[in-house]
Amino acid sequence: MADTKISALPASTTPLAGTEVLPIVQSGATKQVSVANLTAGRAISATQITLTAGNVIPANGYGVDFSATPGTGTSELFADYEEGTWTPTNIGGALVVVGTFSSSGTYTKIGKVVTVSGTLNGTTSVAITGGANVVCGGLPYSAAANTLCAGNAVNAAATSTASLYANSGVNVGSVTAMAATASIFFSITYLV
Amino acid sequence: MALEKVISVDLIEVIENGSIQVRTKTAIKEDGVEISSKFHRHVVVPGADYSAEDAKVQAIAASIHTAEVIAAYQAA
Repeated sequence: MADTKISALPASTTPLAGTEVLPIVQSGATKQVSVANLTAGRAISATQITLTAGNVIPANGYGVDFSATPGTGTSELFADYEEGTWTPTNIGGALVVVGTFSSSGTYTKIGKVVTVSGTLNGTTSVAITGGANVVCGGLPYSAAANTLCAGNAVNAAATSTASLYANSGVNVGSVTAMAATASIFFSITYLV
Repeated sequence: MALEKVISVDLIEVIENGSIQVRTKTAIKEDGVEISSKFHRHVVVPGADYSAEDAKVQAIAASIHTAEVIAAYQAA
């Protein structure tokens, strides 16, 4: 093959497949490396990374490390985020259901903090009796021991509220009562 | 173009108090390629009935939900 300047070679088709090879000099010897292996296993330093398509996908247990930023804490690694659904369960106790019970819920977990929302329905009505009793179970993550995290509930007509909490475990409790209503909407943020 | 709905238990986590956190993934696939998915979570606490759980969850629960673990969870 005649000598050709790199600048005179035809342009490659992008995006690259990763199997293409490049010449490198390693320990004084000329070798080849695939594009995919060019940075494999190596730390990469850059002033800025822009993703035009696709996501940052850290391996399990890894994430974004904020330890170089000011301040200290028990952890500066942001290693978890998740959204999904959960199903509040009627386990008896402070929830009084007249008719058929149904429920739904969503959650967002950011690090160790989980925010849940939920809806409790009765075909005729639902109500909460007061006094620190369990309203429902089924939280998507078990709440950390020795924590007591507060939330709020509102009735279907938005005329009455109740104070709820998540204790250690998967149950939601209520501090206050709520009169019969078609649906109870609530939200709690707790720690795992 | 073939669409299919695939439901699977894609993550099982055991935490210190013996609770088993279960994540169920519902994926929509087009010609075998996932185009959408969502998660649903629940927790199997020590002492709970796990007979309707996924086989892997049942196996884990049978192994770790001992009488001692159940008693400790309920006492907490």
